[in-house]
Amino acid sequence: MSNIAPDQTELPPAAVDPQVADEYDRRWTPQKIVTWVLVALVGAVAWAMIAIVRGETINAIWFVFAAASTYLIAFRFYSKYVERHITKPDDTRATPAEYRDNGKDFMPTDRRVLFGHHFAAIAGAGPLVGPVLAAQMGYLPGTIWIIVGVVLAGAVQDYLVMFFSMRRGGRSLGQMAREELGIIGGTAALIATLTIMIIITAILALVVVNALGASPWGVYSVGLTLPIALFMGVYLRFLRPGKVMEVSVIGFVLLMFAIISGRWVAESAWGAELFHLDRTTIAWMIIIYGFIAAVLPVWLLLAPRDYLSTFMKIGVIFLLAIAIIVVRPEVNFPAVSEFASRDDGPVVPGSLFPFLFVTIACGALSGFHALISSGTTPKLVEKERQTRFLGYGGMLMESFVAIMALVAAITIDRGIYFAMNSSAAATGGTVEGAVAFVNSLGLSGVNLTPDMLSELARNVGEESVVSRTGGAPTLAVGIATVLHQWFGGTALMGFWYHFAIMFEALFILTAVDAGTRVARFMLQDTIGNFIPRFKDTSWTVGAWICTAIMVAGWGYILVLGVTDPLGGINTFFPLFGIANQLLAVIALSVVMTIVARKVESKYLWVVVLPLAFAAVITVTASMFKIFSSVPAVGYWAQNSAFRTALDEGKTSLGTAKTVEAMEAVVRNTTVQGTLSVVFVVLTLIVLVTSLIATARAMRGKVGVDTEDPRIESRIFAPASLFATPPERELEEEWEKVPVTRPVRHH
Amino acid sequence: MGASSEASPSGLSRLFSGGLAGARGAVAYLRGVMGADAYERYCAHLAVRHPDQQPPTEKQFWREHMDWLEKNPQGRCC
Repeated sequence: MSNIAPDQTELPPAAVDPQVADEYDRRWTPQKIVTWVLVALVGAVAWAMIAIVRGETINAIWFVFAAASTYLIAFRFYSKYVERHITKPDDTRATPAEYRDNGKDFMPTDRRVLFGHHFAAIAGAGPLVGPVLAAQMGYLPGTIWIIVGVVLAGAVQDYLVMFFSMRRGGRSLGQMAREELGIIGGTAALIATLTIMIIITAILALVVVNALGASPWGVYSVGLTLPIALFMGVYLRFLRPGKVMEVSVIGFVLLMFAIISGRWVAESAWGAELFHLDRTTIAWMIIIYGFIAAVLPVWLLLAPRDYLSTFMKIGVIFLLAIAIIVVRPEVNFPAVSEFASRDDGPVVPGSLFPFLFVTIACGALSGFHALISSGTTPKLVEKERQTRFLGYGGMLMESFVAIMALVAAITIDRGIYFAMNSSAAATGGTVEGAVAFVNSLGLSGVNLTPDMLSELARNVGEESVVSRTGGAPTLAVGIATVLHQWFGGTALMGFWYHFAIMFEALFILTAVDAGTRVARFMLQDTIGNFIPRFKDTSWTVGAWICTAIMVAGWGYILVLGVTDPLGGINTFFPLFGIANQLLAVIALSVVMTIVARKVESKYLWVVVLPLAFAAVITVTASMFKIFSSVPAVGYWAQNSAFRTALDEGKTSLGTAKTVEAMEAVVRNTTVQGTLSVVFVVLTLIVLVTSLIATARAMRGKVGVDTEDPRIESRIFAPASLFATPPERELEEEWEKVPVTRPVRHH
Repeated sequence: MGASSEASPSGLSRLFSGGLAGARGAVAYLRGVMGADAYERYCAHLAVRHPDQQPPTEKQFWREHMDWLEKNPQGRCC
């Protein structure tokens, strides 16, 4: 085909002349100055309203302004700084999407479409749940961490991982870790990734179980998503292949029907009886579901459910943003609460440092994103410069989702918040118990009455809202509180509540089965090093064994969480955050090694700062969990307290009222404590190997260059959301080139 | 569509056609984000890169796509 390929000179340049682009960037026209001064002013006023001005209440709209203006400034100035000194993209260089274009997984994709695609892959239930739990410390610590954290840590990680993966043909984080950190660091990273996937899947599943326990409406409508997805799968396979939008709209309509009809079912005697399931039963159903979903053909369940989930994700986030702007709810939480400095918070134990930073992981810094930012998205990037918009910008967007979740949660009454999020071990699971417990906390301005709880339960169509831990039900109440003021009034509160529960469950179940599948492939690959047959992913026996191992792993932890006499979410959630931050440490370690080889060491702080912070957080939080003498915080302290009590022949201790419950606490804390030790050891191994590799690179002992060789680019596209005038000029030149120009295939 | 309406478009019809174009753009964007346009994109790719190859039928393409997904699971984040 090369004989028909036009000469390079026939095509316009593949990049705006760097000097022209730079000049445009640095030329400050009055219009530009006014715009950025305005953005800065809005941001300053909004931050002042949130942090300093303390009226009786504060309007939620200020959170939106503070976040949006900070993101804009960070994107325009800080991410450009990172681009200029760290990544140094070169648009005359072809991306893997261009030089390996196969029309499928490698293909230059419009940056705006890819932004949505990437965002849908990184955003899930994580940024919705963490901020809700962290609201126990007040709104200010969480808000600052979400916004500052994303600017300096989370978005930097996503951007750099995406860029360096793109320069390496879209290699995965695991492959890059092996290349950069060597066999020890690489193996530690692999084990850490597998362990983390087990933990994250288990705790996400625990969130769903807690949201659906004793909720006939929820069980019925979430349960209906399965036949809906199966129907969509069959429809796409046999009836109308490829009509993805059509089937998604049908699925969405059916989903709405599932939510609406849920009320009728839950209010009928047979429905209430049939779908009223206890949490242990639901946990086992999710475990069985997880296994089946991971071994069923993808077209039947996974793919259609993913379409539905993406469809809902984009819709819901728009809906929530518009609703918050239209309704502008008042916030009922203090800026910094009593629990910020204490370590006995009923929602998640531990003081602000370090536990705020592991409670909110997704939204500020999420190591899990490194798995998505390497691999899938880099294979679709059209031009190198676009990674700033996609990686950095995409993560800013997820942070915005976290802020909206926080806003929705803090608009509900604070007494109700604590009644919903304190474990059943504390409230006894009854309205009276919850009222007594919450009022005994001595929180200023909180005066909970039984009527408030029973009225809320009635409005949202639940039997009870007491001790519905996990964050999802609280967020659902918050979303229903905001949305019903905009649309539908109290009559529709139940609908909005279950709408919110539905999409959270949908996101989580998609993450559960996709996660199980991904982990199964990783496990097969690992075992395949010893038993080669396992490398063959189409070998059914191997696939089933590895799926069973992964499901058993997260299923075990899920059951422990559901039956935990001390609560469940409060004891297990810190592991979720620690695991996620540990993954961030791994990702940033890999990035630091690459950056140290590539750029002047004076700019290395851009990576060192988030890495050091994530490492300190992970290690400190793990140390607290391992060594703290406060039983609520330290797993081993709790363990030995219960062991001693059992040895002394006691038959109850604290909230564990029987010997079996006490034995369960001993078993759970052993698992939790062991995992904490594993995490901290893995972190340290990765960190040390990375420091050695970095030091070698800085001493000038440059290792092998792991980048793919340079290939000239023969396409052009603007770098960010809007084309700059120089980019626009070049685009016009390209528009004159015939569309079906043959291109030499490499 | 007629020449007369193009010559003197009323404000309402202009608004309508503008809204229609916007809605079309939104649907096209959503299709891209969800990957619903994978088949068209693949055919376009073949037309440019391998004009000698016969594109697969839509059904065939999606079957192969699902087989590919079967072996290349796409992660979904928490």
